[in-house]
Amino acid sequence: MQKAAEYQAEVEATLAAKLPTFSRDYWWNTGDTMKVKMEPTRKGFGLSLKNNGDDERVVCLGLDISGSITISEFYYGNPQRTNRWISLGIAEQSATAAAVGLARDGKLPVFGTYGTFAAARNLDQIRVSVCYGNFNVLIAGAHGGVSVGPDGATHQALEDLFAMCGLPNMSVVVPCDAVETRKATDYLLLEHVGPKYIRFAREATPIVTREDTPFVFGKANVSRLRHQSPDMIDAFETVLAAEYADENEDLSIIACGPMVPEAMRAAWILKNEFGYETRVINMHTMKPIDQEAIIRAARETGVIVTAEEHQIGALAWRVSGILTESPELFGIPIITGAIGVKDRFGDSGAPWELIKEFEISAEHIAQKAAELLALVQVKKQDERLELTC
Amino acid sequence: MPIVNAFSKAVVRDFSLEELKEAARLMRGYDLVALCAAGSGHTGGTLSMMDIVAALYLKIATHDPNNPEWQHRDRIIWSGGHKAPALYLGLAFAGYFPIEEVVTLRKLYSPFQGHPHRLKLPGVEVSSGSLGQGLSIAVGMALAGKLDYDEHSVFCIMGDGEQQEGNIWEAVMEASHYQLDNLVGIIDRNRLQIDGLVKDVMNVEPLADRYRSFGWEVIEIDGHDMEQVVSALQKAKNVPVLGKPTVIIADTVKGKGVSFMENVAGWHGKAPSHDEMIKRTGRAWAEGRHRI
Repeated sequence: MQKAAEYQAEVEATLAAKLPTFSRDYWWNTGDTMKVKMEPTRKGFGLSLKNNGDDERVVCLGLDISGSITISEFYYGNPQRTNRWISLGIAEQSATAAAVGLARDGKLPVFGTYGTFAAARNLDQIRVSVCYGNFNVLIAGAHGGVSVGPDGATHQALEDLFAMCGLPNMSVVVPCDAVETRKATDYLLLEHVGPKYIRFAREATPIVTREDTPFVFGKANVSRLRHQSPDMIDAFETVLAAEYADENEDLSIIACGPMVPEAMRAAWILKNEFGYETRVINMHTMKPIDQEAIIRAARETGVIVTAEEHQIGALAWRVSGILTESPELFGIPIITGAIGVKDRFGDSGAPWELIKEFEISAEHIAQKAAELLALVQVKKQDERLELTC
Repeated sequence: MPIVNAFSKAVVRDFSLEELKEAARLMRGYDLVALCAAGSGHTGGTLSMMDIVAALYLKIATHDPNNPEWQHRDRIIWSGGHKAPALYLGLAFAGYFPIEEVVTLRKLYSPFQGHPHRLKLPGVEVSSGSLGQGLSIAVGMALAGKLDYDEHSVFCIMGDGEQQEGNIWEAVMEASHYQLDNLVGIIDRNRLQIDGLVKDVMNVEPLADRYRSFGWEVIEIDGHDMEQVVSALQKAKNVPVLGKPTVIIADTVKGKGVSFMENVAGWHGKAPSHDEMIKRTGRAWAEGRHRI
């Protein structure tokens, strides 16, 4: 035990050295203000299934990880639903195709497991049977990102969104907290028709939305820091990006999933440390992505940082793809940065340690943004000098 | 029961054994014409399946070509999507569309895709082509049938080489676990796959024992003996063993009906040339002067 404690102390020292430092500690719930409640996003998934499970069309498939990913909430306390609970064991490929058979006959099948086994192990079944046939199957990529930290690299889903976003007909939603996960599941389960993938986390992450916060599939939200307050959720105003009026901010951070709370915390750091105003964009729907919100962020702020709990690219490359394909941005200088996992496999460790090890914390986002903004300043000075010469 | 009217439940067309044999013979001819016109496709496996296809689509399965989405229809899943031309001819002979249309097989914009796509052609239950997935889809459909207390059957057509896919055995396990006696697997055991004999490429035998050990009822038949084919399908559909899925393992000849194609692995994924097609069907076929 002594040895383990010494080892852990060394790890923590290493991680502390990796974390960018500012005039104070901004880490979650370390100060007296900007506090957050934390809850695993998976809870929102289970709650939705519990609430909507009376719909006779809903059929949930068990893949031997049911309690952990909360899909079992579908039948807990509702024994009359057990005939629509179909345990298929550790057989992801077959379950994926079986879901197609159920969907073919008008059911609303739902299955889920660790993101990497829900989106990679069975990728061919998803591609051909689910997506090509365009079937109404809800796939839950649970324990996404660093959530299953100590399990190590095999179980950390850090590539699932590449595959899911690359499939025709597939829709992909990565909600930012438990509340948004519940809303997203409600929508995807009962309203959205077609192949759909929702990715959520195992670890408790900050709650940054409320019941009345907008959630519209395919439409991003903008969150703006208005003031410091005891609870972080009160410090931000959140509206649909389409209804947001430009405030001439210094930069935009486009984030998805639990990186949204990190982006909000980064906005707080950037405001406190540098006086920068940040447009935080919650891109909860990765496919179809809200192009207009991205184009506007580029045109109106000129600085874009993406943040994803994933190998860099699922979000970053989609955003850059839209910037590349938008003629309306011709002639407008844009500088971009990407926060995410840098083409490496994971490691065993506590989820919050991995956030630091992978360099995807709010501190890293803020540091990256500050670097980009410094470059913008240098460029502007150079242009002024050229003008005076 | 054969082809019906979904509303009146009246039998629209039933086929005698002799008529089924003749239909299978004609379907083989149309298959060669379509493959020849396409210039590519899977000749061997479509020919080996044709007697079963004729029996299934024209006599055994209860379905209505005018109402492809009729809720109480029997479902037929083609796990091996490469045998699509046989599926198309089954549908055509049943009356889903004019037979001649199948000649647009594998051409751009055609509903007759190289591998079947349900969104292009009514009557195609699911899109398939990647082997090993169909039985799982059939399991899902059979589960849905049980949930809905509907009495239709779900048939799933597979190849013997396809049994090498691990996904199949996940589904085999699930079907017996859930006692899906409304599910009928059909294996076209022609013993050949692209690289050669199934037993050399990767032996799947003893298939019957394997299915039995997984809790299935097994019927082994000569897949070209129409009486055996009809009798096995009728038994599996109408009087299955209670609580057990059935698999019909049909011994067939790859390339059946064309002397120079029979039992030749090379004809798995190859279409006949014009000369080869005429050699088998006669000039009347190429010129459209044949009679159904």
